[in-house]
This record gives sequence, C-alpha cells and structure tokens, in this order.
Amino acid sequence: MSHNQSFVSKYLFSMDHKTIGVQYLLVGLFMSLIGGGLAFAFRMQLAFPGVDLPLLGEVTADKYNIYITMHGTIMIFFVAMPVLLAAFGNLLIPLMVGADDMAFPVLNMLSIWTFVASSIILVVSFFVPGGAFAGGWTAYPPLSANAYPEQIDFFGTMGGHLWLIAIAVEFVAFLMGGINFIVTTYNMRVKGLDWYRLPVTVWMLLIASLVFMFSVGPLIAGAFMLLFDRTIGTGFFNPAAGGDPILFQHLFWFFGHPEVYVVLLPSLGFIAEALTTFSRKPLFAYKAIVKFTIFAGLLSFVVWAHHQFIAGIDPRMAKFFSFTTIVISIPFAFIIFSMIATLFKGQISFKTPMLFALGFLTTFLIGGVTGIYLGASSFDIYAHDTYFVIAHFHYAMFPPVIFGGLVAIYYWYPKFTGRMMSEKLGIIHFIGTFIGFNGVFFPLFFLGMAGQHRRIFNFENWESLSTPGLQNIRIFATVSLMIMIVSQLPFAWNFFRSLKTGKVAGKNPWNANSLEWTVPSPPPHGNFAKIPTVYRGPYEYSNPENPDQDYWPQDVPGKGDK
Amino acid sequence: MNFMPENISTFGQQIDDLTVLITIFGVICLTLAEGTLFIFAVIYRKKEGGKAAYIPGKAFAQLKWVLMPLFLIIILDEWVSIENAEPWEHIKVDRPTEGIQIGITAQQFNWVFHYPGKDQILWNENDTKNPDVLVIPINTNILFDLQARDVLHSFWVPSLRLKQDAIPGRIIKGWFNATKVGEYDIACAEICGTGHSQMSATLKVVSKADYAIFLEESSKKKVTGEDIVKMKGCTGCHNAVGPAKVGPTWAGINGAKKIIIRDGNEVEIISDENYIRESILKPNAAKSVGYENAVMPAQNLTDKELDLIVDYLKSLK
Repeated sequence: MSHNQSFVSKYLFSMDHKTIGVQYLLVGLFMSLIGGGLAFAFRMQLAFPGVDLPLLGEVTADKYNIYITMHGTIMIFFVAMPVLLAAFGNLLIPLMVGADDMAFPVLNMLSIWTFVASSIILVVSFFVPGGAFAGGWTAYPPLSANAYPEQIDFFGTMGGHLWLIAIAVEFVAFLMGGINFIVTTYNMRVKGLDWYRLPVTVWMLLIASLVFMFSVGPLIAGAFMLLFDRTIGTGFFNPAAGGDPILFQHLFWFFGHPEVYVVLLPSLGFIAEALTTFSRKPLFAYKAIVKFTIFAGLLSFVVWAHHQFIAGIDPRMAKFFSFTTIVISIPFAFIIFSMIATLFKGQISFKTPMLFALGFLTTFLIGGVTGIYLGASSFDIYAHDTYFVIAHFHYAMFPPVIFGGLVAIYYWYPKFTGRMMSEKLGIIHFIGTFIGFNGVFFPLFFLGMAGQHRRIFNFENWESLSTPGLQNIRIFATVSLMIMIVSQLPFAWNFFRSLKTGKVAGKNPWNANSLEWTVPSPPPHGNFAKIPTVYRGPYEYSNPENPDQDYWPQDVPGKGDK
Repeated sequence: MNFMPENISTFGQQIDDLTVLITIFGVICLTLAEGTLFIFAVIYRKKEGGKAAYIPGKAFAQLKWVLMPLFLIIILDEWVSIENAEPWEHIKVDRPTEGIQIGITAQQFNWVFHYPGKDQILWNENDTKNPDVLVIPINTNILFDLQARDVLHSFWVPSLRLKQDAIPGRIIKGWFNATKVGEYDIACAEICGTGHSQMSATLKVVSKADYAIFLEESSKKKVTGEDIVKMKGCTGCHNAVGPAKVGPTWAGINGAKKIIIRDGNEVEIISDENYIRESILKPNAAKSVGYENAVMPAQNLTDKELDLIVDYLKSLK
C-alpha cells in the first residue's frame, strides 16, 4: 500500500479502518449534540411550561412531539450505534486480531459514507415543510401512516418520509459494517489467537453484529411497507384495507429489542478491558461470560413482545414473553457479577476510564433491577407508557452508551492520538456526568409511579399530575440535566486540547496486554510492522508464572513458547 | 406503594402487592451488589508495592462466588414470575361474564362512552352516548368494549391500575370493578397526534342508586349541539371558551373578523353562518391563518345534527 496519500484519500475517502472509525466517532458525537439539545429543549418545557427558548422559541405540542421523536431516533440510531458499534468496532477489531485492516476496506468506506448520507437526510428533515417526524421514535401506524379513508391528523408530511428513508439507509450502512466485523474476526486472526484468546470486546462486537444482522431485516421491510402506505397508497397497516397496525409493532420490536443488546454488548466489552487493566486482574470467568453472552444473544430474539403486553395482542401470549424477559436477566446478572468479582483482591487505580466503568456498574445495576418490574406483565399494565419506563430505559441505555462510550474514548484516546488526556478534567467530567445523570432519571421512577404518562407537553389536563410536588420533581430533573450538559464542556476541551498538549503516550500507557498496545500510538497505516504471534489470552495480569511485571502482553513468548 | 395514587379497583391491590414484592427483592439485590462493589473499590484501591491476586475464575471453587448470588437471582426471578401469573390471568385473561356492558370509543382527541339502550345490545343506534365523562356504579363488574376510530390510543386510569391500548379495526374486551365513589382521571397513554396532551376524560364512580338516576336522565335527555360536537371529537381540537387548542377557538366565532387562506391567498372575511357551515362540511377548503398545517376530518352529519351544531356555535360568545 502506498504511504503517500493525498488529503482526500487519507482523511476523507479513506479505506483505513482507523480513519473510518474516527469518522464514525465524530459524526456520532456531532449527532449527540443535536440529540442532547433536543432533550434540553423538551425538559425545559416540562419543568417550566411555556418557557421561551433561545433559537427554538416556545415548545408547542407539535414541536414537543418532534423533539421527543427525534431525540429517541438520534440517540439510538445515530449516536449509540455509530459510536459503540461502528466507531470502536472499526478502530479495535483489526488491531485486536492482529490484522492490517478490515477484510473489505472498500465496503468499509462505503459503509461510513452511506451512514453520513443517512445522517444528512435525517438532519435535513428538520427543515422541510411541516418539520421533522413527530409520531414517536417507534413510529406506530396508523398515526405514522396515511391509513384511513377519512382524512385524519396523521404525521404525513415529508419529515416522516425522510425519517423512514434515513433509518433504512442507515441500516444498509451498518449491514456493510457488520459483515466486515464478522468476516475480519473469523478469518483474519493472527497465529495463536484462538477464539478464547480474543479480547472480550471482539467477542461482544461479533455477537452484537450477528444479532443486528439477523434482526434488522424485518424492520427494513417494515420501514418500506410504512413508506409505501404513506406515499403510494398500500394498506399493509391500514385496518380499513384489511391491514393490521399491530404488524408494524411486531416488525419494529423484533428488531428493536435485540437492538438494545446490540448497543449494550460492545459497551460491556470496553468496560471489561478497563476493569481488568485498572485492577491488574484477569477477567473473572472469561469463558463463561462469552457463553452467557451467546445465550443472551439467542434469547434476545424471543423477548420482543414485552413491549406489547397491553397493545392488544392475545393476553395469553404475555406469559411466554414475560418468562423469557425475566430469564434474560440471568446472563447479564452473571456478567455484571463477574465484573464485580474481577475487582476482588485487585490493585485498583481510579483513572478516568475506570471511573466511568465503575459508574456504569453502579447505574446499570439499577437498570437491570427495574427491568424485573417491567418484565412482570401485571406491573407493566400500570407502568407501560409511563415515566417508569422512561427511567428504566435510560438506566439501561445511558450507562452503556454514554458511560461505556466514554470508557472507550478515555481508554483508547492515547492509542489513536498518541497523547494522554488530562486526568483532572476527566474526573470533573465524570463527577458532573454521574451526578447529573442520576439527578435527571432517578426522580422519573417516582413520576412514573405517580401515574405520569409519556409524551405529554404539559400536564395541566390532569388534576392528579399537576400538583406542585410533582412539578418540583420535574424541575429537579431539568436542573440536573443542566449540570450534566455543563459537565461536558471540560470533556470537549480535554478532547481537543489534548491532541496538541497532552503528554506523549507511547505504545502502552496503561500496561495492557492486547495486541493494539504493541504497535506505535497512533498506529501506522497497515498497523503491524511485523505480523505478531499470540501466546495467551488478553487478561493475564498479575500472573504468578510471569513474576517480573504485573502484565503479560499477548505477543510476548513465555518460557516454553516458541 | 405510596407514590401511586390510591387504588380503587378490586384487582389493583394484586398489582400493588406485586410491586411491593419486587421492590423488596430489588432493594435487597441492589444493596448487596452495590455494597459489594463499593467495598471492593475501597478495600482494593491501589497500594504502594501491592500486588493483585491472580483469580481467573475458571475453576468451580472460584466460580461459585458468582454462581451463588446468580442462584439467588434465579430464585427471585422465578418467584416474581409465579407471583405475576395470577394477577395477569385475573385482570387480562379471565373476563367475568356478569356485569354492565359499556363501550369506549377513543378518537382524536377525546373519549366517548356508550351505554346500551333498551335492547341491551352495544354499538347500535339505541346506545346512549356520553362524551368525556364515564359514569359507572360502584362495586359492579364493568365489562368494556374498547375501540379506536382513527389511530392508536390507550385507555389509562391510574387509580384503577388499568391500561389497555385501543386499536382501529378491532374491539378489545376488558373489565374492571371500582370500589370507591369519586372522580378520577382518565388519560390517553399512547401518542395519538398533536392533541395527545389534551386527551383527557373523567371517571365518575357513583352509588348504584345514582347510577340508575343517571341512566334514566341520559336516556331522556335531548341531544344538543354541544353533545354532538363532543361526540364527534370536535372538542378534542377546538375550545368553546378560552384559548385555542389544536384548532382555532370557537369563542365569539359568529360575526368575528377572520383572516383565512383560500386557494393560497389570504383574505379577510366576516365569519357568518355560511362560513361556519362550509368550515364543517369542507374543513380544508379555507383554513384560518396560523392553522395551515392542521388537518380536520370531514364529518358525516345529518342535516339536523348540522343545524344543531351551527346553532350551538353561533350561541358561543
């Protein structure tokens, strides 16, 4: 490969997995600014109804619906997926398996630019007549489809068409990325890198890619069926034409629930790397974690209807889905317990990535426990479509996406930039984010218990929900969000400033074992000057057979290794 | 749970008991897990010259320390699963056969409640219809048929611990039995359009004697223009008094100066009876300025109904 590349081929239309990873990361971070800004706007309206916001004005019912819809869409599909799966999958998989690049570099480049196109389509949809899509991020018909003979108030403007197109195009991008992850992991592992010597991150990315690829088909089909219902008059989801609105819910959640694990799994991988590195301990029960994850991946295909307990499906079906939903807590309980056990008798240093990893564990546990509430279909009769679900969802998704994402950014930043980030700013960032996050979402459990239902832009129509006590809780949550947003400023400063002024990192600043730490930081085009050979698993910290140092890189031969 | 509004249904207590049970389990598990995590983080913080132990967790002797709490989780999970089955069966599957039939129609953006007429059969022209307020007798099984006219809605009464989605094209059967006289909030829990935030109604639980009086009175009552605009869903978007909702307000509509958009041009008109009639029959031919994006469905109205509505609108000051 040529090392004299033009600017365009090096930074823009690059086929290098590292450049593509960074591109995914930057687009994802940019989209998170929009998603977070929308959250700020609608939380301001909830705390201070009628408030006049700079740039956006008053948040009317229409705008409120647009903001919540686009917040959900952007955060799940345009932040969580690109950052956790695409960005770090691209950055890490080839380095961790000892490959010079992805199996299909051209396909990889197509993937990022298809994703950029879908992001542009989504952002443009804010500016078309009628505004962006407002029918909720789950886009349930008939509200999202022109599905009735009489004209009704449905969200039939251009914004909805673009929303569907953006989602479908984006999934094409991730399909191209996913096939690369799978083929690279299967075929390009270096000599000695057996399946059970892979870093857990690679396992998690592989299982997440497989789950994604097997579940996404129905949703792409559903998106096009909905688009046809809206534009050319088909009636897939139109009861008056013999269609069925519930069908879309099945198509959506058959993908939508596995999607939760698609986002969660990579993050569990990043956290495992940080926990082992910063406690100088092997990962507790590595093989069992991998097996339980595969089990959870399979099980994730038969839990989807717990989103529809009271949607009008046959109530007898709920028994099965309630059971599978409660059972899926078991593999994740095992993984989290093993992560806690990893700390036992360790030497824990509280570097920023470790702080976020511990922040993940403390908060995700709450997400897991509250999942048991909602998995119980009887309680779900009460809690469905209330703020209890919103609180649970954010305790289950925010820790993997934001804390997990930040673990990855802080942990591998030195590897891909060659510079260390400031620990001081990192600690401030962590404390503000952690307190802010809990301040926003913990109170929402109580609002949900009080019966507060979702997607309401002010609660004055319900006597029981417009009490000063509940309003104070809403204000508390919004103020906490402000704390969380302000706490991102030191991160932004740290992220960009450290590129120039950070301490030079060297190859292996954390004294970690996996193969990415054996190459220069940042790794050159082609990654490895000499193809390494692997002699052991990635978590051999403090191994008594290697008494000289508390880590044992995968490519260093031990006594008896040839 | 204290945070929940007071329960007023026969089955609500089962849900509340389940909630308490899960909360007890949850608090125990959380305390143990978070406590262990915290203690480990404190005790095993890095020490000068310290060395970490090598514990890969492969052998059962080590693995058991994780399997034991996991076993506890499995037992608690199973317990919740069993405790969950009975109330679900009771509330959603086993519908009683004896009780009062009531029809609930959800539409953008209000509720209409149907009571069967003398023929005791629901969903025909003999029904007595009551918009916005659901009056029911205390301590009686209410067997409801739930349907939606346009998009998905969800019938949500926190005090009853009851929620059920309504789907156009289907009738969903359910039941409840209220045990306390009073007025309670009904909400729509499924996003249903711009007016979702305003889609509310009242559940009024009355004594059996009062219920008989209510039925008697409502079957005799002459239908007014005000009743019709509520039952057709008009008031989901329009206010008779006060500020505008999804559509323009009706207050003082007769004789008011209005700016409308007709064939793409802004024109100033006096809104007289002819304009009001046109706005009902061909709602999207001429729209008020500020409501260009709102879509109003055309209605099937008899001439008599139309006259009643027009008279009612003209009477609003």
